[in-house]
Amino acid sequence: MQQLVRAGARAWLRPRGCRGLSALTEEAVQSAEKPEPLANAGPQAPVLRRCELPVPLHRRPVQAWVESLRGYEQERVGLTELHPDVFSTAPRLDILHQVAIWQKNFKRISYAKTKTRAEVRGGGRKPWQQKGSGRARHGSIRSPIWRGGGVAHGPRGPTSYYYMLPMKVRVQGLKVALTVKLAQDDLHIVDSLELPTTDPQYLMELARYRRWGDSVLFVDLEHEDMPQNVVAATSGLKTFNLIPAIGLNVHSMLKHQTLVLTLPTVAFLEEKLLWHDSRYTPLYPFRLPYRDFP
Amino acid sequence: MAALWVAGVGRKSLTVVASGAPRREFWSRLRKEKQPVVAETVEEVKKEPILVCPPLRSQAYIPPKDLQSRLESHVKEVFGSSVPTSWQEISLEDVHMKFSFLARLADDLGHAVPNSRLHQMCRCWRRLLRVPWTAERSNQSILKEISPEYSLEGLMLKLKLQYFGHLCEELTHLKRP
Repeated sequence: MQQLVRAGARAWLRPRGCRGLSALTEEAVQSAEKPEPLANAGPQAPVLRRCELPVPLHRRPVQAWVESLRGYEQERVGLTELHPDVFSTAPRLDILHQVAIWQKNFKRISYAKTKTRAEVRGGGRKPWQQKGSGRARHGSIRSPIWRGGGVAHGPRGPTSYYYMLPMKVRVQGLKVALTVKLAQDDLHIVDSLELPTTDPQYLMELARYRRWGDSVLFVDLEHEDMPQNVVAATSGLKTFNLIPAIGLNVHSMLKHQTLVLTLPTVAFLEEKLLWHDSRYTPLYPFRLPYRDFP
Repeated sequence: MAALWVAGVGRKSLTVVASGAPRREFWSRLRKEKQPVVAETVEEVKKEPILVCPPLRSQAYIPPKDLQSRLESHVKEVFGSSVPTSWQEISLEDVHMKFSFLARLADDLGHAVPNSRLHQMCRCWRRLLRVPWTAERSNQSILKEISPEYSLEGLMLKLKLQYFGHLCEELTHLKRP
């Protein structure tokens, strides 16, 4: 009975690291021999993805390697096709600039406020008579030319810098950012964000080995479905960040040197971004239900 | 008596669930000698073979002198008997073939085609031999041969009808609730 209790306690209190490491040995053995039955092994079952959405007749899809984060050397697990209107659109740097500046400014509220001559305490009485005293004529001691007086054209109250760019411009900004990332070899597609350990050092060494750069942005599809290992690893690192697909934005893409997308994220982004190319003008706001809204 | 003892243990563990420290002290008394020794050796043995990063590769790529023969052998491996007259004019339209060929080539040469240039590797391989990895753009000349066959009038009518249908559907959809 005591042995049973002890065994139960041991199982309950075993640290997470041990369980992860035991799974690691199994994976190491499997990856060393490469007989993995899953669809993300090397030469046996390459992960191939075709572009589901219709591609314009005059364009061909762009392609990218599908990599894996499970091992250091799993760099070519498959090949994916990317829609050219999302990943190979015109490099509109002006739109990128517009969207980046908009992202920076539309949330800005400056709270600076100064007092005018009317608000500064005092200054209601004429300091000396108009004529005869020999001094310059003044009407109040708080006018802007006086020391301690009010500010003439200073900031007045909380100012909002809110403005909205048209939805299509913001969508085009995302497409241009993705295009630029792919064209400069800073985009990497990954089959899924599963890591063998929760150790942040593993991610850093992987990025160093694959020459990804100092900062990496990982994008998964849904917040709830993110694997625990990658959540723990990225929470321990400052320059390696993890966001859901709806959180993708131009500023983050430009700030991080490398962008890592999963295959479901690519499908999601293509669907959402391409819908705006061929949609009708809204008859009512998009926040109300539409039949064909993706 | 055993049942009473188990119940006592259970009650104690239940009451102590909220505070971690007394629980740890309670259980550590039972197996102080065993656990640290076993865990350390297990962790040391298991960590080494997995998380060792391979040495960094150099970014400079010098094509080997026998590049032609290597390419030819890879083409024959991947495409087998379906190679046309000259092996240099294989088509990499099929995604599966393209992947297997380029992956083998990358593993062999130690240098892979970057993502930005993958879509340019589709037809002729003579340029690959002359200047590796700096493929020239000739896709447009190939694609000019493809002439789209649709009429503009038909397209306009289709779009008008689509818009009409969209209007009707959305308005009725709004009216219902």
